[in-house]
Amino acid sequence: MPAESAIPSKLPEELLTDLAAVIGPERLLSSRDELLVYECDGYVVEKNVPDVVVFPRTADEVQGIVKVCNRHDVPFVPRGAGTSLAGGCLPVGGGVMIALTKMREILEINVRDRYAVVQPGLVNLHLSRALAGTGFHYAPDPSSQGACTIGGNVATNSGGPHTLKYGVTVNHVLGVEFISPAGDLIRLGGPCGRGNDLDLAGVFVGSEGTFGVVTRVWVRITQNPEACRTMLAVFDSTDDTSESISAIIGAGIVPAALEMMDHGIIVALEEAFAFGFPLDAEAVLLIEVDGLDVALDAEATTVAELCRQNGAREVRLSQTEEERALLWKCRKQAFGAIGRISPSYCTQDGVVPRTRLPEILRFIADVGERYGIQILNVFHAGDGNLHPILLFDERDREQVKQVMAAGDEILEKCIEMGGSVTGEHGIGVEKISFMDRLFTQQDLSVMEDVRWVFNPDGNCSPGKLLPTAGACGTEHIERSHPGRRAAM
Amino acid sequence: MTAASSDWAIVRSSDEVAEQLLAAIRDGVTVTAARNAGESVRRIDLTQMNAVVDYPARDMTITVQAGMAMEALADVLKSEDQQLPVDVADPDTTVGAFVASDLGGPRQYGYGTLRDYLIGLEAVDGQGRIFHAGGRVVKNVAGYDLCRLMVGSCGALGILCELTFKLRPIAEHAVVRSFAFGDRSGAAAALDALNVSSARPVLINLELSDSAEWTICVGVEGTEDLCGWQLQQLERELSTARRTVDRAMGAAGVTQYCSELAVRHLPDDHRLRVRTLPSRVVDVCAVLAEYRLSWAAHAGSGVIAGTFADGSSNQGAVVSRLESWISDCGGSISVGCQPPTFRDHPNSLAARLIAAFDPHGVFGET
Repeated sequence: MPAESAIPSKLPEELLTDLAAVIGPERLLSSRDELLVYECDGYVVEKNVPDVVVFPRTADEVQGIVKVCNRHDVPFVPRGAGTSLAGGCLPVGGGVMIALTKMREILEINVRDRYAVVQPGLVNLHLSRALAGTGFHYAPDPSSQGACTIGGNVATNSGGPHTLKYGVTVNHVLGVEFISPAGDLIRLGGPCGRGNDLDLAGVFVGSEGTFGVVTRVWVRITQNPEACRTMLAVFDSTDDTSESISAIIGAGIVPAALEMMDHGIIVALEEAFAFGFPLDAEAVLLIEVDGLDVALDAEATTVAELCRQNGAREVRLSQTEEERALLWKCRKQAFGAIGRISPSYCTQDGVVPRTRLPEILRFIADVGERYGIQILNVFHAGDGNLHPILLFDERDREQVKQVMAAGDEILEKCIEMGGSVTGEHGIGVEKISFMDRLFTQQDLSVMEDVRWVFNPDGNCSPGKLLPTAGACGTEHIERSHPGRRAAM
Repeated sequence: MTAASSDWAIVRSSDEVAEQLLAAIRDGVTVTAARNAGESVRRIDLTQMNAVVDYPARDMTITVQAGMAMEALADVLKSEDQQLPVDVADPDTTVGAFVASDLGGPRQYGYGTLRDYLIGLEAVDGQGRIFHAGGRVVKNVAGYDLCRLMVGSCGALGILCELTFKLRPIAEHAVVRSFAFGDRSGAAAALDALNVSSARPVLINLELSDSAEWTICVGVEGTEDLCGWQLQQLERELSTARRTVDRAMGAAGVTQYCSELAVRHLPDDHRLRVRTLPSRVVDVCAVLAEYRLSWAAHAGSGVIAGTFADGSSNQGAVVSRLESWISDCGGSISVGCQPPTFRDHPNSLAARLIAAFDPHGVFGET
């Protein structure tokens, strides 16, 4: 759908003057044209332009910005690269967007003690690049790792293909420094983890920007695997594919990655990358085992045998590093390849117990048929973390409604199967309406209390994550952007 | 619910836990689920809440009630060749108590800690609210991650009733081999080498033997062939060792070895526990040796326990000496067996969180 028409800012003129005094006018955007870039993240169904975007370079500047916002009673929202997929950095109610992309320094790398200290705007992949030659890397690898920032990863507790074995972002965060919504600089944890405190850094990770603005992160770095074996298992049936996943996990094997791609995505990828995917296959599994070289051939053989026992017609072993790199490039740029076949798409992020994968994939296919929507699947099968991609044209409001209804059905089914509505993208604004189906009112009440401790005035990232969170943000929506939810 | 005495109640459900907490608020008394409750504290006994709620083994997750003993949990998992890879000093410890205390053992080097395995919970806070967090799937970012918050919270925020963990397969084979060095510099160099070893140890411990040798114990896992290959690499990388000895053999043997080591790290009136950077472990241990403490270290993780041989007369001096190794890296020192007093922490967030979860102070002054 087109962006909403320009809405004159109702923010006080002094706000711009005061913000400029903190960071200078050259790192402040306030014209409508410039602000449009920041109207949404990867979740394009809901959009809203911020009133101002600022680009701090230091924690002091972030602190100054937050204090100015508080002085003027204006909400603010942090933003990394804007690659999140649930509206986590949508500026609900407008206000000031604090873009952290200029805080991108690596402050320390300590290989001996296995940690690094980085600013929040550092691109995920740039840390592993900086670690090249040390024998270590930063393990969380979202598909957007070439663009997404570590601060954004902290906000959403990002995962990625290799988190099956290595864990998600919270498993690799030792500490965070942030500017609280009240404007205080606070450090939680550090190189040694939580010390004798509550694990506040742990609860901060995944708080989707509602606890404050991250200014520094202590992350664990992981020794590189000595070697890996990457396989492509080809199936004529999605049922067989998901049975194979279940068999591999059930056999007690923990691959480094276990990714599934269905027929629709295979076709899109083949058009984009000409990898040589079998276009007549119903689905493929991208399987990687890693570790010590001496053990990998046996492990890869076992995995291949389990796939064959469950109906794989072929299991290809990647023969060269170039071939492996291309295979992973295909997987990680799968979403980009969809741009060739659809003007818009909406990605869901449901999770089911791994053994329920065959059932949920059949259900997704049924939903697609009933709504007349093409749904592709490329997802972290080993974790049971689905990414059904619903194709549509956002200019057609009827299609938008259909896609949202279909997506909701899929997520409802995930809950029914004992799963969750988000494995790694977060609740953002997209899935707020599911929170009271996942959790009881008492659960939400306790989470509200936690939010209140960090963000008592609700001025930091209002309208996110909790259905009742940030009432002040909702007021801003109604006051300054009454049409924001018109497309819902 | 059974009231065994006015200060002790056996509970069988989270509803009964909530009832007890509301009663305690009315009565103006403090409560705990810990076994070593003081006289003025009402104890809630969860040991009857010891059932397996759900064990979908092929999903590699399990949900259990918090009163189940850790040994019973391990037995259930063993039947499917699975494990919760944590080291347990006391097999009778309940799962809830273990999570609340978060006492990691030697294998935290290779496997991480409980915070990496707890994926869902049900608990009751100090207002008697039964609440849930996480779920039963291995990947889930819906809502605030209260699981992390509850791990190691020492009962300050609530009483755990039900817990869901993700699991790992039990290794086919495992070995712990020790490498003895004549002095601390030899041990320090060996620990540096282990950090970039071509093997992948799951545990690295440091101890001082009776013959004053600095001894590093390294554990490896995998198939028997893989263990053998790793041990060969270690022999090569740690070739300056005076001698090597196999300390434990087989998965069960290594588990037993780790449990015995974990005992040496349990809180105790005469015990000092330090968390620092792994690169500082040898220096910290040298200070402990200088003050004649017996000590053992999870060297790969920077966790050290020292025991005062002569009571606590030197405690202040030792702590003072160690401060500089701790303060700049976010490490910690604790002495004795009292749980940490989170309310006293310099940042007020912990105190405010405790006040939100427990506004009546029903869990005491943690």
